Amino acid sequence: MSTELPQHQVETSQQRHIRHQGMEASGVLDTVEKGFGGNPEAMQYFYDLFRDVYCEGIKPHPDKEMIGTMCVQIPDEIIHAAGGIPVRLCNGFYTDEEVGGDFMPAKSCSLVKASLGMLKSETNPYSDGIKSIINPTTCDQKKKAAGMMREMGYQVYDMELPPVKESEEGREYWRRSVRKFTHEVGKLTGKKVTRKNLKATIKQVGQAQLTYHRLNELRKNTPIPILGKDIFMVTNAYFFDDLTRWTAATEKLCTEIEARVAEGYNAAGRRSPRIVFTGSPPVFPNLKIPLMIEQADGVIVADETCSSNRLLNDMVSVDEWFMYDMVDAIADRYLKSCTCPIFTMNDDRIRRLIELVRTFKADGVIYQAFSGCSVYEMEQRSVAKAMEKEGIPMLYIETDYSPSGTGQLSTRIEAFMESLKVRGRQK
Amino acid sequence: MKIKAAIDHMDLRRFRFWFQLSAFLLLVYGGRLAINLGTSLPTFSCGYNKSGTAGVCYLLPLQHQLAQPWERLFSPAGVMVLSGLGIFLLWFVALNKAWCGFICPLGTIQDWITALRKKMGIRYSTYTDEQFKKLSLIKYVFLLILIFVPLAIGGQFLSHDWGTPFCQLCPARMIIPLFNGDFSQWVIDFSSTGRMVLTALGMFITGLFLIGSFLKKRFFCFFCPMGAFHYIFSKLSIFKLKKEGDKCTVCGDCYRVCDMQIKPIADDVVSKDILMDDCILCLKCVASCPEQGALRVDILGKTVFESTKGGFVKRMGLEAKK
Amino acid sequence: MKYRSVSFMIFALLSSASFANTQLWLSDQPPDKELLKNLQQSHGGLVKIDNELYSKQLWLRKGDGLFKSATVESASGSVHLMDTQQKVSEPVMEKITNSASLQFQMPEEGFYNAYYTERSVENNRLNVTTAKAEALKHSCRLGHNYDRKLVNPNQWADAPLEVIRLRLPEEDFHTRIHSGAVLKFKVLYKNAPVSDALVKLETQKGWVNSTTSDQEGIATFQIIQDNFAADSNEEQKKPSGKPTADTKIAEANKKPEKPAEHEKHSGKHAMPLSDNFLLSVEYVVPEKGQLDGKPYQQAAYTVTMIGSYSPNAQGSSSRAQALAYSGAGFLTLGIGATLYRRRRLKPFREVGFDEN
Repeated sequence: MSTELPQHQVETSQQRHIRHQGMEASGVLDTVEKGFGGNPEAMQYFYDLFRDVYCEGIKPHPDKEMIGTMCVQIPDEIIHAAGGIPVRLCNGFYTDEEVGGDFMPAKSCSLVKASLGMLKSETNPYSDGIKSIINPTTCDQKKKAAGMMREMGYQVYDMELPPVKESEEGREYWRRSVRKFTHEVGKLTGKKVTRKNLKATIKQVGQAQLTYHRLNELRKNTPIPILGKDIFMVTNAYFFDDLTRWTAATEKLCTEIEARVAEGYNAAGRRSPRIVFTGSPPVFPNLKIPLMIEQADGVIVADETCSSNRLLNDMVSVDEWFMYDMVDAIADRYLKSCTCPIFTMNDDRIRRLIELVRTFKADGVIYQAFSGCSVYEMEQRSVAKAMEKEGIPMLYIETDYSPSGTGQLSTRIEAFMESLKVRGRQK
Repeated sequence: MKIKAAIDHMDLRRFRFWFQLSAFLLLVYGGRLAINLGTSLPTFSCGYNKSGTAGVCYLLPLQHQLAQPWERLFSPAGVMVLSGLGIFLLWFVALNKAWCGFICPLGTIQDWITALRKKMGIRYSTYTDEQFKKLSLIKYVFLLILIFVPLAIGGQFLSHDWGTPFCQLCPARMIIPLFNGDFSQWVIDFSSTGRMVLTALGMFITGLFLIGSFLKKRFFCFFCPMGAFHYIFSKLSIFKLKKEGDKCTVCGDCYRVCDMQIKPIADDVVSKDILMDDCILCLKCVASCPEQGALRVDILGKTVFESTKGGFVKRMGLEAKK
Repeated sequence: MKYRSVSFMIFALLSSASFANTQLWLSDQPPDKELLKNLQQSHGGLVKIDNELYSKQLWLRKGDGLFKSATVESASGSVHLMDTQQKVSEPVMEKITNSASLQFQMPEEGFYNAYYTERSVENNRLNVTTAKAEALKHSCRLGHNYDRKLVNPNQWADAPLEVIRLRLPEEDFHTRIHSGAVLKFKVLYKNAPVSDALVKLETQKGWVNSTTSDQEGIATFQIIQDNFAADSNEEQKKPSGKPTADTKIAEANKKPEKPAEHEKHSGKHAMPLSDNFLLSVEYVVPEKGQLDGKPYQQAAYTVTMIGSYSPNAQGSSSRAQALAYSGAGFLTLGIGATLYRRRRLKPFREVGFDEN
């Protein structure tokens, strides 16, 4: 039938969207893959994964029941135990942001707009086919997005997250939320969460986290054996990749990086300032700021974002391998250690940042806030103050997904890098 | 260094089980082998377990000594009370509250009852914050009873029938002799009102103990005046539980595994010395902490056991199977 | 031989009547409450502890029975004290608050025996009355690794008539005699066991039992279960264990007695006695001799000894009730927790408000 089609075919809006999406993805992939040199061989798996998904349109989980998650607080273990594949719907495409712009006010967060756009256009290979979305009550924009997703025809499960995590009430509230979710997710997938399954998935996710820790630990080395952009690729792949495959690929990467450490390999420049990245999450392909940092001779040695470190850092510890204990343990891990700015208190995040700077021997902090991401914007002040008190230089960048205005940003980043180098020399 | 890594990676659960079992056998049956560790042990090595005990819980002689006539107690002869306390402190200083988590026979029995519950697949109970705050005062009430009732006896305000009031209430008096086939404490003594009230309460508490420790991990330790008494002196000990607040991500893993539901172990990121009054120093918190060096045990300022990622992984069974 | 047993029978009848007469014994119960202040209840009765030095104070009491007795003002008999190493000394009696009293120190752990002996001749008969007391020194502070031989009774070879309480099986310094216990006493005359001596045991409540010693000089009694907790409950305000007031006993025994007479016996500050049995042994031998110029054809020896026993552990305690109480505790928490857990499964409760 296709042969009979006229030569001058009019591209549908969806086709155009896919084309733009592919262009955007391959542009960033090219920079990541070819812009730096010295890529670890094991990184090829991740580059290929992104290329397959975004440029070739290959679905990572063709026949599986996928459950969309909107934030880092949704327990993967439970979804896996119910036989579902958790897919993180936080999106980084400018192409999608433009579509999502119709739903949200102009001054709202690029990430939420992009996620909505992705769900609307149904062009993202990994999220296509999702019926149910778990949306935690985190920031206002995510909360309100739930209604729009329902409008689009998705089945949205609002998972209640308390705004205060220090209080006992908050803990109990969230535990109840997670217990209820454990039942509900079984209804969504049609498979009940059992003790055996949950124990297995806790271990499975634990092993993935462990591999990430192994990789992260290597970044403490001087010279730095791996660039931050690669780490973001690895952790971004965790959003949608198959857990076992991801773990195996990351293990392979660890082994390679360990060899690099042994031979004293330096992935960055001789005096590249070591940076801790924090703030709004860089999600592929919006690796704009991380790439700018590393292009400006900086190197990201650690991060404090929900698309990377916060996603994988804290592990579940179980005392008694029973449902009641495992579910509560999972609940605690996703609430108590979470440094998301939507909570009232900011102390944990500041403490974490300082500790990261110390243990990863960083020279400075770069704080990214998406304009419209009010919680990160609001926390900027207190973090800046704390960093000043600690004598840690910090650069605050307000940005969005638009490709314009990069020149000014890169100038600022370069200047910051220079100042760090000067500071390093003076020490 | 290899030794340290081995300790940090050890299977604490198994280590504790064997250590507790050995301590239990020593204290409950050691007397049969003529082992005598004196009468100032800072743990519930019950003196009523006449045929087997290898040493006597300090609370028994303490209550006896405090019941002396005041003229004697507050005379130079009263120094003797201090000498008993001195020996108690020497024992205590060495191990701090680890006496509770690793040695106390009554604690061990509770852990065994917990193991039974786990076998049966029944969930454990927890106290809410409110309950915790109120109930945690009970141990101080017991402590006051065991100090002031004997003093009142010495001052002739109370009859000797109220002597050793805490021992009469303590479930260890009933439970521990059972392990030597001695059922003789399971009685209500009608010889006087005092005895009757105390023994009846004691039996009631024993009943509470049996079901309580089944439902709640380390049920009785929460009310134990020995724990409160320990806490008074815990700062003197060479055995310390330390926390590095900066390394803590407040994930709460330690709080969740804590048999005693001690919340500050997770939430307090300021205190360095994190030993709380309810703590039994079972070190489960250290074993369950995934952050390198966030929690640690120091003896004389030297770290002997600390939380490590590797240890956590091993204990959680996350190690890749080879 | 036959003659002898018949004569004994007659004699026994006679002497049992004579037992109703006044007896003399040594007790550690002070005549005055005030004196109690200096004393402490220790293993084996009241002792005075002064700077780790134990001493015992005994009072001579005289009366028709335990519940009708009073201390004696002056004593003219001889006094002997045997220490734990069986060395005998002759201390003197003193007079404390108008009562004859014997005080001695107990430096070593173990049993000290005190003997007070009076001799007189009446109707050609020599009466030798000995009051014996066994005093124990034991301090738990000295530990419990003492020589077990110290628990054994000491025996005085030169006693006019000696009675010793044989120890219970596995007796130690902590052992208390309980109602229902089988007590064995051995009677010795001139250091040899005596058979057919009349041995009588009388409890505070008036229970009397008598027997004769057997070939080995042993008399056996089972202590009656007359000491019930109910009686001592009324007395629990008293600081010294479970003593029972004279008056109460008198009432309990329903023996009508003139109050005035009773008061005379017990003195101004009536002291409840914790002595609750009195053992007496009488042994008559056809001995001839002289005492202070008075000749006699016959010698009658008596020896008394005091003792105490506690209510039987089984009698005053209840295992069934103990199990009931622990069961109650078990069920309270068990059911409570179960209901609580069940209730928690319902949607959680709202926060309540008090409008006032």
